[in-house]
Amino acid sequence: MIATKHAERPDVSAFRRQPAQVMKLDRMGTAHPTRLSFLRVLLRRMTRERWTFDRSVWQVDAKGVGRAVYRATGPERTYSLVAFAHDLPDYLRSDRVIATAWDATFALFDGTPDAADLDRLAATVPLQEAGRVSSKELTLSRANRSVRLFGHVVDCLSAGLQPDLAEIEAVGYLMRTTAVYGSGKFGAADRTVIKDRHELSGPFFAEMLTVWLIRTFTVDLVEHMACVKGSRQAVLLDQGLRLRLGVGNSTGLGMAPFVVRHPRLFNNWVWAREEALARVRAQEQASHKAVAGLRLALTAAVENARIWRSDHFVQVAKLSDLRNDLTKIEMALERFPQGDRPWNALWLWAEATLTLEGQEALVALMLEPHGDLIDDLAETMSADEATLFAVNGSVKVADFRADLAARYAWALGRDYSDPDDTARFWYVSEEKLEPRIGDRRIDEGAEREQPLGIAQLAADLARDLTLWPGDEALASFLLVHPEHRLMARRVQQSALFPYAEIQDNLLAANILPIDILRSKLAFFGASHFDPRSDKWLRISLFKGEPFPQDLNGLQASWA
Amino acid sequence: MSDAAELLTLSQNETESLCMKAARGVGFSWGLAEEAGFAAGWLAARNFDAITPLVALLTPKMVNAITRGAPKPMPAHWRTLDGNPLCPIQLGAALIDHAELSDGPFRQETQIDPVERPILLLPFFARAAEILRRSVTVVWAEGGVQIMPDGVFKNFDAMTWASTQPVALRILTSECSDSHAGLTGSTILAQIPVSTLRAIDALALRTTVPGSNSSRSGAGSSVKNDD
Repeated sequence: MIATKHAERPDVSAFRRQPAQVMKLDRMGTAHPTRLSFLRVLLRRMTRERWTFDRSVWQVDAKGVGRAVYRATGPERTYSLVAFAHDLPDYLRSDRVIATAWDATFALFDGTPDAADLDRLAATVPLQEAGRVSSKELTLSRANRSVRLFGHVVDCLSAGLQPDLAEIEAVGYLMRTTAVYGSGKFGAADRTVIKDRHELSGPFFAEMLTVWLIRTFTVDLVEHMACVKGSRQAVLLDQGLRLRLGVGNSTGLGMAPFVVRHPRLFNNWVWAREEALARVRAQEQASHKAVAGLRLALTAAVENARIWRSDHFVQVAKLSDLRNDLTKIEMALERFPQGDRPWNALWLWAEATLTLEGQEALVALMLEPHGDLIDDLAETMSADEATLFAVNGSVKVADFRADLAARYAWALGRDYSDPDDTARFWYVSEEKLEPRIGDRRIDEGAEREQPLGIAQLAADLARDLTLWPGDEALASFLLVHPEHRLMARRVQQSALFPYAEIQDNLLAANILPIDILRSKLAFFGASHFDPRSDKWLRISLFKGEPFPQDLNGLQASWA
Repeated sequence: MSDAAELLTLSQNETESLCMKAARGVGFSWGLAEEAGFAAGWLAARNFDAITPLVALLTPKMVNAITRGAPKPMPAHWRTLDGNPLCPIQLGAALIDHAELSDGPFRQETQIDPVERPILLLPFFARAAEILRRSVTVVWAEGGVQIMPDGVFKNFDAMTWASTQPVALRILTSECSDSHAGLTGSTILAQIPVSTLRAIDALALRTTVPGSNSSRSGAGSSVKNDD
């Protein structure tokens, strides 16, 4: 259990935010990346361990079609991004999972691939879901160009000019991934293969490594195309502009069911962040170094908010809140630190003064200068979901009922008979098995609903439990009521994992699935959230972060 | 080469996910479907094809009551509730639910009425051994298998259990420390016939909703998204 790992530290639970405050959709939908986000942790680890990187294969023709291999070598192992670049007609370019062709396709190979591996991968990786990779591959992914920025950068570089800063800021990436599959999908290695490898032990680290190497590929490809077009006139991309490029990502509903289906894993992510905030708040004093770090982080956040673009009305309002709140934080920091426990005072001021956007932005700012205090928490963010899977049926029904009432009070006390309470239903479409959300009053398929309406499931369980003798074992109840087994398991797990449940009704008429997506993606380290509908989110990953060659100490051999 | 002869390997995650959906597809509750997925994945990671027996178990459930073969727990003898052979998924889940009860099936020698596709019970016995920190021995007419608290067992013993006929069982437990053989090292994933994959896929698809124009249009971006 996570709490015991840090038993030597002082108890800061008095400063920890409670699940009832944190696990609400409106707050989750204002999450910001922090220094505990996975891509940040991965980059710190690779830097600390002096990983080295090279591009061992570059066979790309004048049309931009071919293959490349990027190797990342840590203290114990090498991982290779195998990239295939394609000549995709514009009419086939789609970010939806129902697409069948992409500008580039990728696999993360476990080791260094030989020629036979590359030929095998060339036959299957471009097919994505329609192909099969093997347990030698850790991830499978694909990306599409930002037609607007990719073309602009090629045109400029080929003419010997640097691209327009405003254009780069407006888009922020040359390519966006439309899926990054790991954990045994389509024949790839199971999570169990890498879970004991120190370097990839964090959540989604193989996926993050994949995307980071893809970022380098996108810059190499755009420079290659510029060289082909402009020949000797062409120039390389300016280092400062390069840094401003991330990898875009288009995310649909698939991430939302993931969060609900992995309550224990999600708990560990949230718990780590909340414990980190509590540790910062609990400090008696604020050191000069930490205060200076906070001010630096604020400056970066203000700049980030300045260039963050979205046309979606929900995000436009949030960006306005964020910019206003950052101004208030700037003013508040003029008198910071003051008194005892100044970090806690700052936080309490924020809770009383700022919008949710500002508060969650401040979480990230307060964590930023406290690496020594909180970075160990990154090690607690994985979960072995195979253990504790069993239901303990020996528990008395009366005790179980009390646990349910105590931990799911947020869900009980209503019968969900108002049509608005169950207006939506989550399902998986037959076409490419894409998760979707439907309107129960209009759409067909509600009888094949996925079990994401946890609030209603909890209420249904409570209702049927009231009719059962309290001194009987839960096992006897479940024998007669197998329909409650899923929820009974969640109730028992929640004893150890207080941040496991989103404490809102995911079937409600007014739910915004993008709130769940943003929360999850912030843990990845995503920034520049840009909703394209209430269930479709564009983001940027690794924007502003170093490139492999930067970690190499600018090895001359790269080019 | 025919589908029946062609083999392929699914990852453990794929096996779990597909089998859970298939179990749900024929009408199991989500919680029991999770148990079916767990059991199949556990077996697949130990080089047992769990999908072929699961398909054989699940296919008749499309026309029969989903509760067919439900267990009736009784001290020292677990019976079938309806006279049909016991269903290993319902039975396995109930055995674990009752494992820690003082009169539970692992606290004394327990007879079990004939069970369909008994190999699917093996993961549940392994979990019982882990929970109770005791070795669990399962005996049937032609053989037996002992499972240690760390999940180690002799594959050969269990192989003879891959019966297609219902088999009556006897459960015993005994004090024991872990085998210390461990299960470290590389997992050997089971191979399955392509025809079996098609069959389980068909059952799993029963959890999905056919596409419609309204669902298609609502799933993606509401604005131009190929910029």
